[in-house]
Amino acid sequence: MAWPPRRSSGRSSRRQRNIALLGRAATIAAVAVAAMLLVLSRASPDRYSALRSGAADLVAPLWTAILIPLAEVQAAAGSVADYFKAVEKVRLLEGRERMYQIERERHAQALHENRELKSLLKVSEPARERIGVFAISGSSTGAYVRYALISGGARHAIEPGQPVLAAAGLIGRTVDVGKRATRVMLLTDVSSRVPVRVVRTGLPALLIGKNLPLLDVDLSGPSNSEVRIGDRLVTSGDGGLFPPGLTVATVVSVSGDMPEARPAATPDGLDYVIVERPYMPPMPLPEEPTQAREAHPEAVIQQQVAE
Amino acid sequence: MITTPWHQMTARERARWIFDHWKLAIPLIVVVIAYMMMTLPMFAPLPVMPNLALLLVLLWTLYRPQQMPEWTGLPMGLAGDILLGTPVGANGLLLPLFMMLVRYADVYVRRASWVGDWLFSIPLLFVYHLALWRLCALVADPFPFLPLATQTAATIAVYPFAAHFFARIQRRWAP
Repeated sequence: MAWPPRRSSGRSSRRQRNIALLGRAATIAAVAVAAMLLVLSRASPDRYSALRSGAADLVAPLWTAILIPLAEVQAAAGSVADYFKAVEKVRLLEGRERMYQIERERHAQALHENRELKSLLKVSEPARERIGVFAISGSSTGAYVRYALISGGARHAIEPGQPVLAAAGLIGRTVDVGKRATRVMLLTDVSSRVPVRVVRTGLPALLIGKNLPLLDVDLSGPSNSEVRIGDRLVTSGDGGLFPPGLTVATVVSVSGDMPEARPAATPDGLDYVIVERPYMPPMPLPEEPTQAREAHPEAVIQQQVAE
Repeated sequence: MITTPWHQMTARERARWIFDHWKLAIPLIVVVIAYMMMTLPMFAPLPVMPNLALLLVLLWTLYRPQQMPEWTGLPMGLAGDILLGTPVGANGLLLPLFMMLVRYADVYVRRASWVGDWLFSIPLLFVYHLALWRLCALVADPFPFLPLATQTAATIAVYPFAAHFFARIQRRWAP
């Protein structure tokens, strides 16, 4: 029940009518302003990036402070559970260890061979450069975007468009950079696109986020490759942002119109992430001598005469 | 109540007036804080964080409409857009329209108790999220409705808690 109750009829004073009229005008103005802002943000989505990074700066320290005790509790619960499953786990791991022994030898040999061949061919590769290790302090769990906040910002030389990794694999890329906090666009965000390679076939694909736990695998590239359930996807290094060979996802379903993959690293329970420089930053285009082209021909002739 | 026109007040009187009337801003402050709460890190596979701010706006519009005029939806919605990452203006546009819708529907639907209000809120919350979904798809990249649907369900589920919280705010801070 609304209080004070709305009067259904009766006379109102001139003052009340004026106030109601003003309120209505203000509402119409508010709706018009909001529609205008929406059109503006449609025209250039990055216009409000500074505001967003400011908001990130504001919210991040709050959640860091709140999450410290929570993380302790989580860690404690995890270690208690570990004790109960210790024997099972050890047996499982011993079995796996035997299985992987052979694989590991083969892998070491291949690595050695690869290094030898590369040095013979004199391959030049850009080096990966780490900017720093930062704590993940929060995320927008909204339905619209999938972001995480990390505890480093422009002060730590983070810039928009840098890859963010965890031990298990790729997390995403930095987008809005504040002074002390940065928003990371997760792989599962709708606007996230990651060029990958299928490890088994070596053919390229594109991972597309859709705000759901799983990612779409777009195979409609030039190679028209196929994937199976269990195929591992690693970054291909296309586009120069992500270094090649990072674990990104595993294919889990091929039934729908697009195969789906589960990201290898989810920010769930992650504590620290690494931010790196873009693997191969895009080269700045050589500046063209624009003056000659833009100047009016007559002006050019006059200039020549003057000289 | 303003007795002296604003332009006739001295600076001291104006400061005094603002100090005396800061409670008018409580609904706005509480909703913005609710938007900040919604950025709480919870890495669930689907969003389970209820839209607390929208619930509070609904409760205010239902129970204390005079404390929250429609136009305040713009600043609150913009704060939400910036904090949550929706296209700037999406919530700012929808919140005033939502309040108008709630006021309009409130006149026509009779409810006996708070459970009736709860049921009454379900279609309204659903319509809001549906409109937000369409608007975001129109302005930016389209995305599936499932995350918004889980958020709507969570929002409907926490209605009684939000109402309790709202009542406490009214008892403690009512302007």
